[in-house]
Amino acid sequence: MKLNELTITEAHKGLKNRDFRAQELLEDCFTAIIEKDKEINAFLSIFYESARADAKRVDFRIANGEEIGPLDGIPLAIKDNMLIEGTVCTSGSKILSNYISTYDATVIKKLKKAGAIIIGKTNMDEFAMGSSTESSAYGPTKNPLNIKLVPGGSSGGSAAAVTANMCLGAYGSDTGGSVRQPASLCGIVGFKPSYGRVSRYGLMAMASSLDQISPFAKSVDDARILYEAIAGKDEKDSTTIDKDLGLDKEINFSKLRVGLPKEYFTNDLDGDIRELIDEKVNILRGLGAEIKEVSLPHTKYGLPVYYIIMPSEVSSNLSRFDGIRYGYSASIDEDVPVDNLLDVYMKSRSKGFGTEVKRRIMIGAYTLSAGYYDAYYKKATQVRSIIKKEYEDVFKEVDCLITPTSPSTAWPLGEKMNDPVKMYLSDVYTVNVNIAGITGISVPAGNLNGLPIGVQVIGKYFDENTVLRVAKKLYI
Amino acid sequence: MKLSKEDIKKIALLARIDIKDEELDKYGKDLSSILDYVESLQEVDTAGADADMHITPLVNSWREDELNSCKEEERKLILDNMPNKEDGELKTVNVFKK
Repeated sequence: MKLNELTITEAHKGLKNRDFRAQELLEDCFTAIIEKDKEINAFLSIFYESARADAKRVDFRIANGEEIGPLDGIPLAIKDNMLIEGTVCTSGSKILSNYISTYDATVIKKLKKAGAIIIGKTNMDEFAMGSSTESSAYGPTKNPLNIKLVPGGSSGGSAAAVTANMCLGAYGSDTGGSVRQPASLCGIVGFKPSYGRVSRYGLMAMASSLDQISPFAKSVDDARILYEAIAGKDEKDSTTIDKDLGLDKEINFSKLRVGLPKEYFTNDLDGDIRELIDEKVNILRGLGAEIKEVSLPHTKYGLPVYYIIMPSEVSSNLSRFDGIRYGYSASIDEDVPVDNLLDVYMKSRSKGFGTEVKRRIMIGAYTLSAGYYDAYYKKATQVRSIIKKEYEDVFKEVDCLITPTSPSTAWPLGEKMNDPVKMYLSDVYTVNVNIAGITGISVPAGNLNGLPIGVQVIGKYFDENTVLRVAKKLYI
Repeated sequence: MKLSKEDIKKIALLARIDIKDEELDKYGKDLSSILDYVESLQEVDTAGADADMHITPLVNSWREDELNSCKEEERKLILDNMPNKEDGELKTVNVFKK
């Protein structure tokens, strides 16, 4: 077995026992990248030099008999919308092709402190807007299980990097399902913590009330390690919360109440997916858990709510790309004549942004504009509060929910690119977790026609412990 | 909901994105189909529902208002990212007509 195929937990043991060195572990990851990434296109930048220096330092510490933590010497990949000081950060967009991060995101600071080896930045849909990683300005990422298929998105580069064993774990950002959905399509674990658990400082904002940095892993134990390393209050993100993670509390499965929301299991759901999920539910039933059908009547309004709130926040957040302070600027482009400041804004953004980003900024500008605000934005926030309340109520009856993660397995590249609404529907089962701010994890449920598909465990606000422990029983 | 070419022009100006005339139809079609999709929200009874909802239970999150200057390396990185500058200062094209 090559070292890059190990889980984080296994690699940690190996490093600790001095079975191999961090530098060897890293080189196996680099070998996988060199062999496969030309085709897969998971990485936008690779830090050969700094990663090798970091691994060497960890080896030195181990050789000196120092105790190491769970992430010391572990090679990880980071979605290219999180800042690492002094390195290029594109967010998958042409407008930032030369942008150099001016500081470390809080999660990066924490990972560096934990001794993790950051090996590179991964491909993504432009500014995380997409569900297939095809809207990246740097070409699509392909699914390592079959390169004719998409890996899902928007964090498809991170998902593919873990799936192809180019790293041991990775981080993405999940705004409407952008970590859980690609995890489902690639057959790995994707874990979105509750909103407020992880600092967003240094994550390029897409929709600030929904964004959450979230890990990809090969096992549930690894997901927990990756989550613990980045969680906690940060004074630089005022929405983070100072609250114990509570991950050490055992749960009694014979007293566990599990809900199956009937709105997630409609006739639209592929019968074979239903069967795979039933098998997983039976594991919990076998442990003595009580399984019952529950109802979340406003489920179907989640995606429409998302497609108003998200673009509204997008249009506001992306107004910072003005061609003045950083990024592509029409003002110094000889091919683009500009007469005045408005011209610089209009032409820099027109040339710098791709189609999907333009669509969403325009939708947001419209839904927030005078005369339409009440009908769209205000209405959507009201329905959002109804959805949130519905989840609060259902979690009085049950301790967690089990649902599908995605309505289908990975689809062929290009299939949904000309129909935005069809693309949006691939997030139909993940989006409400973001709308309600709660926590959810996707773990592999099995295969359909040779392709993986995930099962999702949803927990109440701040109850990552139950979600992780239930998920671990479903995916061993 | 069907957005006209004039609507798209107006939205594009609000969004500060230059849209070419030949693209107006395509964006009109795309935006209209998205707005059709979200139209179903109008059927939800939202009487009494909170429109100022926040995800977290936090009310206020305070910190001391301290002056922190940035490191010299940070300043350099910020300046290096500026597309157009002169003597360490950001330069833009004219705001007003001469």
